[in-house]
Amino acid sequence: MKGMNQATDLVSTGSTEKRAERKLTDRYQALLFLAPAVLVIVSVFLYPVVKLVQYSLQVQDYGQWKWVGLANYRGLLNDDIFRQAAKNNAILLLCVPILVILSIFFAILLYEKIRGWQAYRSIVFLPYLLAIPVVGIVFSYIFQYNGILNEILRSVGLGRLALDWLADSKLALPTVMVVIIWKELGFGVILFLSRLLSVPEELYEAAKLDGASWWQTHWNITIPQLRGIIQFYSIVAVITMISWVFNYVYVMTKGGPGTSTMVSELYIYQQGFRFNLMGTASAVGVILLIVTSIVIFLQFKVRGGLDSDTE
Amino acid sequence: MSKKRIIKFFSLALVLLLAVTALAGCGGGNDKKTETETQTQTQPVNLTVWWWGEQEAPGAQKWMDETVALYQKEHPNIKIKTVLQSTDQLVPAFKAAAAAKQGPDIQYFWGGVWTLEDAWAGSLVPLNDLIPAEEMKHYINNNERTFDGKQWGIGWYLSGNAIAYNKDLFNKAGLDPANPPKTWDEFIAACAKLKKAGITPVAAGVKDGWFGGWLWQLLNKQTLDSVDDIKKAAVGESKFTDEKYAQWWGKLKELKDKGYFNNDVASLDYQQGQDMWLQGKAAMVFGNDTFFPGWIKQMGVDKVGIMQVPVYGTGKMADTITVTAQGWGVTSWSKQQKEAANFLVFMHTPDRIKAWYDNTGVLPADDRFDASAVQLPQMKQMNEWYLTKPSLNMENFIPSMLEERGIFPGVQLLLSGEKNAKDAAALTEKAIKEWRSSNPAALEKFKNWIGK
Amino acid sequence: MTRNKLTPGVFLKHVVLMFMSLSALFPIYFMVITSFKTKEEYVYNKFNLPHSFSFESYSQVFSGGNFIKWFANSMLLTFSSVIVVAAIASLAAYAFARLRFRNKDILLNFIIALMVVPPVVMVIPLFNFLVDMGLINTMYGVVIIYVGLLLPFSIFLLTSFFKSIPTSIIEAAYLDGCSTLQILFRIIIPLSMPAFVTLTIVNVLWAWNELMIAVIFLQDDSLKTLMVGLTAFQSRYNLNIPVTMAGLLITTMTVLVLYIFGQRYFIKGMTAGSVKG
Repeated sequence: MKGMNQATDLVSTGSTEKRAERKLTDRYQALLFLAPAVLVIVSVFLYPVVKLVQYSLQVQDYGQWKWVGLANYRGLLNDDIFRQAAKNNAILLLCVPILVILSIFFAILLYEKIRGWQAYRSIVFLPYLLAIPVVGIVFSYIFQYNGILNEILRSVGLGRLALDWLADSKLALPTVMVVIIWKELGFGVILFLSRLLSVPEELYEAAKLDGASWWQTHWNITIPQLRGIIQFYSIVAVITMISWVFNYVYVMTKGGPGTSTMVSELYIYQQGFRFNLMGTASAVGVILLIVTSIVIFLQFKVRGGLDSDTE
Repeated sequence: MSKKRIIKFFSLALVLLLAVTALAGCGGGNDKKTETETQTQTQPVNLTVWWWGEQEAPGAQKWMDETVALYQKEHPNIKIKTVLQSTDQLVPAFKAAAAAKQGPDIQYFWGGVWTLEDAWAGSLVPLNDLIPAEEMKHYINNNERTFDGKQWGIGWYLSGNAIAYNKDLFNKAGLDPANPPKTWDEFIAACAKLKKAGITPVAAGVKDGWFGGWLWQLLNKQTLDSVDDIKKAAVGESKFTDEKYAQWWGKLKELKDKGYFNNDVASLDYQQGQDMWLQGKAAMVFGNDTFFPGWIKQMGVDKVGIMQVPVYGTGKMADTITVTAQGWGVTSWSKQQKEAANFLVFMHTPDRIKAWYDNTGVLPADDRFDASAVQLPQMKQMNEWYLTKPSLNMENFIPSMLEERGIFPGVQLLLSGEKNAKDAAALTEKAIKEWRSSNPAALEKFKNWIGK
Repeated sequence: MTRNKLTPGVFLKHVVLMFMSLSALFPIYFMVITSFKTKEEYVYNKFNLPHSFSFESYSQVFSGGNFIKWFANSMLLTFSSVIVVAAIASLAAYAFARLRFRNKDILLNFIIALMVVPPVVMVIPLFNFLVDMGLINTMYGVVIIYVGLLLPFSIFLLTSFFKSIPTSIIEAAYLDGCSTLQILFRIIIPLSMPAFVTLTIVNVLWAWNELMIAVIFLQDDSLKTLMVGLTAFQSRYNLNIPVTMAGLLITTMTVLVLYIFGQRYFIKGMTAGSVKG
């Protein structure tokens, strides 16, 4: 494995004694370096996560908590609205590859520094500056049945395409996805661009001399250089689609029409704050935590762990 | 970077961290003063009020500031801190406070189940021992907040439902603005005339759900005799698919099929539907009277008519006007419940009641209010209806799960043409069944609530 | 890379970028024009320029509360949490990217997974936690929570960037006798400026725009943040769109101005990272 090779490379420069010494100092230093982070994370997350697990095994009987074992989890599995929420989160994951591809695409366009690229770069990041409620409110107006989008479509004779974007059960979720992509794209572009800008230019010069095409150049140089950041961005985007879309849905559709845009966070919100069922709300939180941990862990395993992209 | 700068940077970070943790360590215990129930006048008292209402009754904030200032002047030992909540924050903030048993002394509540859920959770104290019965009997709609023979909250101001209509558009369609439709058939005929004249008969928006709840309670109540009927269906003694509870879906479908709503009803929020009416783009709107003074001011007093929801049903509630009292509760963890209740009583003194009306134009929930002060004929009419044929707002007597999973989605899907009346009724029955199985504790409380 | 001539390929690129720019700018246009309309005008004129520019919404926003206080609160909250996060996260990320210790993958994996716990479900336990610590209704309490919530993401981002720095450079520094700390501050951090710039922007935006924690944990008018103060007038029934837009535009303007003035450093930071060779 690459990681192993790298480790041997490292230690081969010193003697056995030195290796042992380095290992010891590494461990000792790691402890020091990690201490503040662990301290804060434990104090902020430990108590809520323990409470979460505890609540998920209880029901609230007006002021008193009662243990019910796994009843909340069983209730969830039998609740078709929860299943719909889970399904919708899964559909939202389709945004991840789209975001990755579009981000790389725009990052490359900007990296090539065509005239005015700095202006474009500033603009592409603008949506990311806006707070999600702002984005949600503005797009609610744009996508109304008699909103500006449909008015434009009608005026150019495409009236048949003027659909009820946020009020049709089949269209609402895709529409929300468009908005999410619109807003989140800027971060991806800037992230990839900032990595590209630190790629040695010699690599591209060499490719040019070899007469490589645009595709070849980017496929053989850009993508491998971006690999670590792609992995990072994909994981962040996956987590966003699972756990950070509440504000979009809450502002634009409130889960409707019907329950067609219900997502797990909105489900948690309803259960906890509208229905007084903090137990099931917590159970969803626990499920999310477990599922994501497994996904991320597998992802690391498949990619060969942390050291995979060190050269 | 030089070594010195590194060290400097590090010590700064460390100091920050230490400061934060140190403060975390020693901050506790401040608020755990033990105070006896009976406080003498001289002991300083701090009251915290979390409230809402400026949003639907503009002017409320000004009244609140005045009221606090006056009360503090009368009682120099009392300091009152008011925190105006935003709509989305009102409920979550209180639930969080309740879980930690620390938060406001006085909390704002919507009526019925919105108050009682928290009473059942042990977050409220009954007010019977804190406010004399002689005083309390003047408050309107106390029965919304009665459970187990006790009063868990009191009203502040009234919020009732009627239809507002645009007199100009009625004229334009050849309708008599002085004689708005009273029965359902007259209503349908009027809608037909309006539509023929190219006017959208009714403006509405159901995307955010809330308006679905209004439609439900205004139309479904007509086939019911009292709110106990609805509680019966909630606990399973009757079904939401029974004719009595399902008939209204057919009326809604009729309005939809005949095209009497704006064509974008499914993609507008409630407020946007109202705005449409305000623009003069529709003849009628189901309205909330806390907004009437503002609308009338904007459109002109002669342009706005109000009418009752047309009657189709034969239940005892058919020809009533629904009204709820937005109000207050005192928290169980408050250390100065008596003082809190005293402040609530002060809100109901004649001077404060009048000031409330003067500031907001909204009717106060107190029968000592001198109705002759009401200037707008529309509000006079509302007040008269409240006195002669009031009924409770059914939305406050159902589990929220029925709303969120049955009524809101049902109305949305029916109005977007994806469900018919029968399916919509089935959806509400399904929702209530889910509630019964997932929340047995609440079911018990509802059973004890019926008819009492 | 040199400027391209206007070939069809370049033209196409411009078209794509133009389209992207228009779609990115449109909502901001909508916010700006709406904020200058009266509520009455907004009702009948949603998308065109206002007939006459009205500052009513702005005066309503500014009279709606202690604007300067809210602004100061937002600044304090945002910058103290972002600075503390950057300091703590860079140390931890260095350990994850460059030091060897047992169960490294599992620990990092676990920290990343914490990002998935939605704030919605943390509100009640966190409230309880802060009450126990006596930090409810204090800035310290919210800073601790912000730092905690931002850490997993920040550690993950910095770790990813730190790892992309060629090992050879670090090796050389080791052989020159640099200590770990020196390596972190003299090599890793300067080479990772793009990452720090990106991280700062993302974290500033998050903290500046955060609503749920601030709204529930700071129940005191004197502690309100800009975002909380300006959205306080939204409601279940009544939504004055021009006022809302004016308010939201003011909060956005602040980060917008920061972004525009920070551009120079942004570019410098991003290009400073170029690894030659």
